[in-house]
Amino acid sequence: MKKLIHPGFFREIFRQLRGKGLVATFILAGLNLVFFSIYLTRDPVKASIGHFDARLMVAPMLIMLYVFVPVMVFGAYRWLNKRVESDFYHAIPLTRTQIYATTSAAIFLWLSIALGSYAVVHAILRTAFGLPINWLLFLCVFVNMLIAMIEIVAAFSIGLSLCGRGFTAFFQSIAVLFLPRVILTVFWILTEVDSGFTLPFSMILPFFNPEYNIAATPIHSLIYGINYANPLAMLYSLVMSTGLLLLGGVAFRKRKSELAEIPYASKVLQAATRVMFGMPQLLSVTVILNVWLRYGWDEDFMPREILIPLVMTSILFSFIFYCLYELISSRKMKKVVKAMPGYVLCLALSAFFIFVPFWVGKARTLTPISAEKIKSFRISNESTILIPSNISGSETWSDYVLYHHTFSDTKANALIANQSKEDCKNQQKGDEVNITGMERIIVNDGGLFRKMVNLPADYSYSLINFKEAFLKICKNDPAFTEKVAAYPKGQITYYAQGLSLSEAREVGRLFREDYEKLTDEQRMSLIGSYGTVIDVVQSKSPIALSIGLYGSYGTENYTATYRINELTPNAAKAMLGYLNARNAETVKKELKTLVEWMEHPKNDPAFDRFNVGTRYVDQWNLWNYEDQKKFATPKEAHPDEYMLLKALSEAPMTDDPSHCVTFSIVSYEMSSLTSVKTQIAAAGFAVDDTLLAYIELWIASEDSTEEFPFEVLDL
Amino acid sequence: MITASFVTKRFDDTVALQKLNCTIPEGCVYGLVGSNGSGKSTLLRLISGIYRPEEGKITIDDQEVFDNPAVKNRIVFVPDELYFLPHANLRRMEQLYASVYEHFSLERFETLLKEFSLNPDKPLNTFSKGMRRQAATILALSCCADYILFDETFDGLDPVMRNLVKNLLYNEVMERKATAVVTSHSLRELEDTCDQLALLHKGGIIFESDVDHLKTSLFKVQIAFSDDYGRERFDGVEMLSYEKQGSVATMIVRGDRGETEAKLKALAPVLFEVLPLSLEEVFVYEMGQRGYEFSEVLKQEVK
Amino acid sequence: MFTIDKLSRTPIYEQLIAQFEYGILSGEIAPDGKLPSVRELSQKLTINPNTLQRAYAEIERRGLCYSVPGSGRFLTKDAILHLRSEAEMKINEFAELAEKLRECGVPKTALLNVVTSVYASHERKETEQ
Repeated sequence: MKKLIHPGFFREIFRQLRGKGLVATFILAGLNLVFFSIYLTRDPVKASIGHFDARLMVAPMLIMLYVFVPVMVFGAYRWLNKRVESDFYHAIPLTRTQIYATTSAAIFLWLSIALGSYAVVHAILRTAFGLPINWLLFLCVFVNMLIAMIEIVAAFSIGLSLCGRGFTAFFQSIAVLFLPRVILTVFWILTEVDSGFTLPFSMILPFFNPEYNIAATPIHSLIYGINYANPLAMLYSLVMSTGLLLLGGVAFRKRKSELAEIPYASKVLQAATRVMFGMPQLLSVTVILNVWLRYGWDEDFMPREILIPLVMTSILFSFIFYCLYELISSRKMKKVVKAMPGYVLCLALSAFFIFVPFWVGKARTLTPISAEKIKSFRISNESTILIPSNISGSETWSDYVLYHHTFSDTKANALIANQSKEDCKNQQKGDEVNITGMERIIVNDGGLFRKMVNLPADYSYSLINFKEAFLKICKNDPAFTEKVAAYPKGQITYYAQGLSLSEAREVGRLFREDYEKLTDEQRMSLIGSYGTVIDVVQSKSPIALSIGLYGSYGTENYTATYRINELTPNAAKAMLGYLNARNAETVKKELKTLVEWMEHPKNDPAFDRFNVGTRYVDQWNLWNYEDQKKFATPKEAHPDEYMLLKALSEAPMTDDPSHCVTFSIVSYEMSSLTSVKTQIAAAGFAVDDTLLAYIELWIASEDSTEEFPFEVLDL
Repeated sequence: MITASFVTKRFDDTVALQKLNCTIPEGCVYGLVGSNGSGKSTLLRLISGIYRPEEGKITIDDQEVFDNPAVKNRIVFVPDELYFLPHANLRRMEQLYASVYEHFSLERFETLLKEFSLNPDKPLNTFSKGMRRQAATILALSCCADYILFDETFDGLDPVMRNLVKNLLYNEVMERKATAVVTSHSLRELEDTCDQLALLHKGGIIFESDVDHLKTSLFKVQIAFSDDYGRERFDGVEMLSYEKQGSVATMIVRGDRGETEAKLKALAPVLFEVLPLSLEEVFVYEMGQRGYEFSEVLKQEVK
Repeated sequence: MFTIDKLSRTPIYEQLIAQFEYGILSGEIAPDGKLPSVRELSQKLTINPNTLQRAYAEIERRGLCYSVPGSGRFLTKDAILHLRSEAEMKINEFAELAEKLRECGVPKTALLNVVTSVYASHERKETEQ
């Protein structure tokens, strides 16, 4: 009964790695402290949900893995390279496989401890600051890191087993493991112009999807972010990691123990690295040829005469690099000459990149989807590209619902089938079909793989038509509307301009209570802007207050804004109360100053721009060149505004939503060339009917189709 | 029993061992002689499972050694250059050994510690060279292995320690029928200690024999006759060398002492003396027989 | 009793046998007396037990001792006689040597003197003890 991991030996190796392990643990824990502090000071609100800033919190871990893994692996296996030590370890009665498995286990344990300490410190910090923890996301990230760790350890073990000398091993491990990734990623980025082609590839063959190999995505993930909750990616990476680990075991077992002081490079590894070094130079040509194949030659972009010289030059450089690597690593001209015929591999790989995606894409475009076959469809959120953990500017709750809802509607199906035909035609013609806004539909037509239909460019006529039609469908899908109208799920934090977090929380609570009493239609009217697909139902409420949400549901994060008005009286009342308490004095003072200015204008940058009441007004609106020529004071130029402002400056405060108008003042200060400091104050003013009439008139006199009548202040 | 059959071992372009055959029986002290580079260490490493032969097999009781912990449990190797775990003391070494060697005896270890008066908690890198060798020996002996391989171990011990270790080895041989395989640069040393000897040269065993047999079946004869004589007179006697100066002939004879004596006496010599040979001399003549120059083989001064 | 000269050219095996013979003849080992075990002697003299084993096997073969399983080796009663008779065989050699010496002109008295002094010194040793 042989144990794969030998306990006595494990104990010894674990002990040997003690120093390095502890250093790793402390560094990761320390890093956590540093980054968490940065994070907290930068984004206290975001932190208040279980938000996990991937770039800030995960990237350091990944980088540290790339530092610590080689340190550990080379440390644990240093004996492979010293004759006396190598003899010792090979003489004791353990099989090679046992040694490998046990050493790997010890390395894993230490690294897990280091990663674990990171997680523990993070959890402690969050708890200490009273911030919630999104356990699911936390777990996912942790699992991701573990999988990445396995892969990186395996990679370096292979490198070391085969190559011996640390330095060579390091570079060959990196080269073989990550260079293909880099090349694929670059290729993917460059040809992403029409990712419709590479997309089926990347869906069918995870190897081609740059985000799927967790350990090898540092470049890609830093640019595009990465979804740490993608189960397919995790599974794929786990399988790959296990495969590499086993490969490492084989390499270790086959290694000759007499190689202790001799560097040894396997022929296969050498050939592979050579090819990798020769590939990048060919990339440019590869991409150009691929694009040519798909779209035809664009004379404006590049005159045809360049093509042949360009290809020749690229091949030449690539060949030189290919041979150069061999020369540097083996230092024998004879070997370089022997290696030359192998260059054909580079050319073959390039040909592969040129033709295969094209053919796959072409195959895909040959058959548009037929309407009858469509069972259901979803809007793609390209979640592997979005950074779900990046709150600002990304998914709203409505987006979330949209991307997770499966639609099924015959009219829609017909629409989509039609669009699919268009799509295929476009692809075949090679028209430059720019996909902006990532609008893409994933269709389930009963086949093994989901099909994709690209929506045309934002500006194109057909998209607008499609959108309109699609919007109608969405509106008529009661299941969808219900979901959108439902209160957002998950961990929610409220924020509101001018309120403290605890005040916002209180308002949010009340808001929720009010909200849940409303009908779907009423609810819909309260939803802030959520993008291009669904219109906002206009409301004529004078209260332009809103509350923002940061939500974290499952492993995704979202934002949402809701309006607070007479439909949500309790929330409105509470909010007004807070605002008035805090801002009344300031607003009144500002208003008085403004009124005075209207009577006696002076060039005061403080009045450069301000948002009075519910309308954006700036100095220019109230006192521009034309006005200055005709009138003596702004008061004379805009008497209505003057009267309104004067009345407001003398009106009492109220927090009764039924008789209230909210006004806010924003003034900008240039504190430096690059930053603008804004001061915001808002308060609720009691209005009588006369004043209300004025306001309505005022509002009605300006209309804008571009902006909503009730502007929510941006953060 | 360790059997090496047609073992060939190559390192890059050099051949260290070429179709080597040898048999190491149980319950003996087996000596390996050979110059540096003759392949002694390589052979030991093959036997202990560190290396794998390119051709041929190394087996212990018909089981191959390489990557076979079941067999490796019965072998322990003490190399010429010692290695201990970094910053380790004997205690820690013992822990590792005890966990990997099935038959490791803690009792034995403690007893030996006392006999050698070594401090198990002191770091081994503070020990003197001799003490480190003692430490390695203790660890090896505690493994209660059936085959103990000592690569130039005695050369680093003082005479008292040497005798102590020898007695311990003899004990192993007697008690458990263990075999100690010993290499040394000193033929003298091996002569006293071993009961089997093998000579290694250029990657092959050119000589493998029982020590006592070697020394008793080869002897020097000085003989003289009153009349003139030639070599033919000694037909029937196996001679490894023959020299005649004046009327005295000096011969190196192989065979049974008694028989040879009787034969020669029957020729009625005026002078007849039989002298024993040292092992070195035995080797010189045996090598001479096989066409090797002894000095080339052992790179030593011939005494 | 037993000493081995490790520096001598004589193989240890032969030295051992010689020592046994001496021990037997001098009476240090009594008839039916127990011979030291292989272990004892090996440890005491630090010599290879196999070598010792062979030596014992040889003297057993010559009939000088016998082994009792479980008890050890014992000297045969007639050991001395054995050795003596073996030694007496050598008197012929002595006779031959005497003949040679006579041929060379060595006087009888010289020969007799030698023999006398050898035995005399031995007797002296015995009386001294």
